[in-house]
Amino acid sequence: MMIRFIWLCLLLVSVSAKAELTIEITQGIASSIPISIVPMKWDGATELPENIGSIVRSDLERSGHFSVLSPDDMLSHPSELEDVYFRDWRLLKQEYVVIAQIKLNGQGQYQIRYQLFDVFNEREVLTQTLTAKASQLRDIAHRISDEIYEQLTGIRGVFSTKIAYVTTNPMRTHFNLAIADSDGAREKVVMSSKYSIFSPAWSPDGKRLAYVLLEDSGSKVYVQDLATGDKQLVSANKGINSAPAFSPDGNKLALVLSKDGNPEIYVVDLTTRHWIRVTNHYAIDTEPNWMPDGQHIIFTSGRAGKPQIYRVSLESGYIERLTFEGSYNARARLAQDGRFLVMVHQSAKGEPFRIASMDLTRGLLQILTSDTFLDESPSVSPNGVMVMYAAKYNKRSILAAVSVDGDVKFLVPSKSGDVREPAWGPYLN
Amino acid sequence: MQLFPLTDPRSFGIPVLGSGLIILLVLVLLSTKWMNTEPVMTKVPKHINARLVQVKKAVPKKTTKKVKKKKPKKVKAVKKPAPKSKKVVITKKDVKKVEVQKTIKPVVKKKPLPKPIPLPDSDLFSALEEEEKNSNVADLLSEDLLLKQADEEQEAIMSYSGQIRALVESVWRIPPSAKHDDELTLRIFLVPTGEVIDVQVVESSGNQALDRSAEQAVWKVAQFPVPKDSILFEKQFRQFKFQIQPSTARL
Repeated sequence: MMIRFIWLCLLLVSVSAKAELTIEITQGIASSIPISIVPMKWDGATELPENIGSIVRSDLERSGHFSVLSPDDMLSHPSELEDVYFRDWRLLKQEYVVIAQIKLNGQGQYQIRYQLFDVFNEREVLTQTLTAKASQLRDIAHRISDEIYEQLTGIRGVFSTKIAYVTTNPMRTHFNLAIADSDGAREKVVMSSKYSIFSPAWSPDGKRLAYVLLEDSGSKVYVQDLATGDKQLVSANKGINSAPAFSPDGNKLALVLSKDGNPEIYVVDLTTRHWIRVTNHYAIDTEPNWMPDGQHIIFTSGRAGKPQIYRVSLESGYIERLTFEGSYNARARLAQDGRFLVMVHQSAKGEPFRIASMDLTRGLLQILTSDTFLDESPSVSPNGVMVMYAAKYNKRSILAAVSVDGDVKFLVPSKSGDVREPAWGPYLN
Repeated sequence: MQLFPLTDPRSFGIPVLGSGLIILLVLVLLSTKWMNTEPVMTKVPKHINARLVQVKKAVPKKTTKKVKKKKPKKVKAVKKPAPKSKKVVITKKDVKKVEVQKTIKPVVKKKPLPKPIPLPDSDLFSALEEEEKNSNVADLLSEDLLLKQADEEQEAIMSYSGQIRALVESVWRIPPSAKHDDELTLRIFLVPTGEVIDVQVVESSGNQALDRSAEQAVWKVAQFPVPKDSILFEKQFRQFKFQIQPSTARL
């Protein structure tokens, strides 16, 4: 009896579920999200050292996923919920609006409270209060950008991450290894040298940089601690020592040595200094990069006559070719947990060098860049969305960025003459 | 703990059983409320009018048995769903005529039953025979009418569903994190003007940004085209579901 009763109940529910009309939605639009960052309210006597609102605005705009309304086009500049008239923002075709106020607290620190609203749902999506010293206001601005970005796109933001790159004077007699915010601001020189600096590579924790120094006696690979500035010599073998890459756990370095005749991939344990030779072929093997699993390395090899990308298993030594399209594919990096390959690509001899991405699951290759020349050294943001690369533009070496889907492009501003060899740093927390 | 026989006053069996039954009864009552029985009730008379004639094509024995069964009041709660299942059947009717015939009859049977009760058995049979003769013609007539009505209704539902779908798809901004096989379900609540009064996430995609984008798309449309026929509105459009899948997403 009981069981029958339960069955009846279930039956009733299922019948009602079937009867309800269901409409399928399978398509939408893929354009940038309209958002308004209202100028933040600040009653202090002096002007703030940083304009947080405008940093957030340019962060979001630069990501390509947002179109940001200029404050001049806003009908009002509210800082409290009761002053937000959602109808007005709807009229301006805005989907999200951010309001904020900044106060000075007792300890001489700035307190920033911001709220993110969904204009159509008339609902608060996010609210946060952050405190910072004057010197940290820019970090706070990037953090706010990161939060908003993640909430609305579902992807972790990278505005708080750093980039490393190499700058040169026009005479090429002086080289700097520098670190800056991902928007190019707050450049800081980590190391200066009269020798050429190549291939900076971040440790996964963002605390160390590996790089190559081309000294008079030959090329050498160093690992430098960013907090202390101490640099440690890792490799000074006969011949080439180049292209260092940290393993995902940060304990090993993959690099290229030519001590046995021609360039091969090696892995060295940074604590035990135990070396393993990974490849053994008479053609050039170079530019190693770790797969996220720490068990495979992708690299460039000329074993098929022209440079192409290969993957080697550290355990079995099994080597698999990954790229077949184009006459030249080199310096591959991975994006989005190893799903996409990003590399320098030349479709045929004589054609320009471009940055291309390849979807490894679908095997589709897409050329991402078109406006710059001699595109080189792609480096992928830790969220796998953007690629920073070096290129020639107006006869200068500059840094540019392009999204892995090719939709967003921008040039990274730099004070210095020539900039190259960008390396996008990891998440810092 | 010791187990006592049901009859033992120390046993929990009876109270547990009793409370279980009460909970179930409440469940049944609640579930019937949820299903908006009223609009269905208003619909029922239409079918009865058309169908009274063809009543007893089914085996008479069963009908007499059912008459007896219906006397106890307890079964009422169970009886209610009958008109509901009818509702489902009708919307599907346009496809298979045969099915319609079969499925509708048992449903209709119940309503006219109280009438035949006073009739003596012989009368019942003769009435049945007569009806069976007429039933073919009546069947066809009523079926035609019903089918036509159902067709029209189905057409209206399709048309409005299509318009609603197009409106949402024209404003839904798919976030870049969406994967092509992500899925979510929303339930939408409208007032008769077609204005959205509530949106609920019934099944989340697991991606908050994707869920929010879909919800926002519904709020962005704000007012949907809905049928003016209040019965049809109540039945299908006062609340309905969106099944959402960003099949064009790159990932």
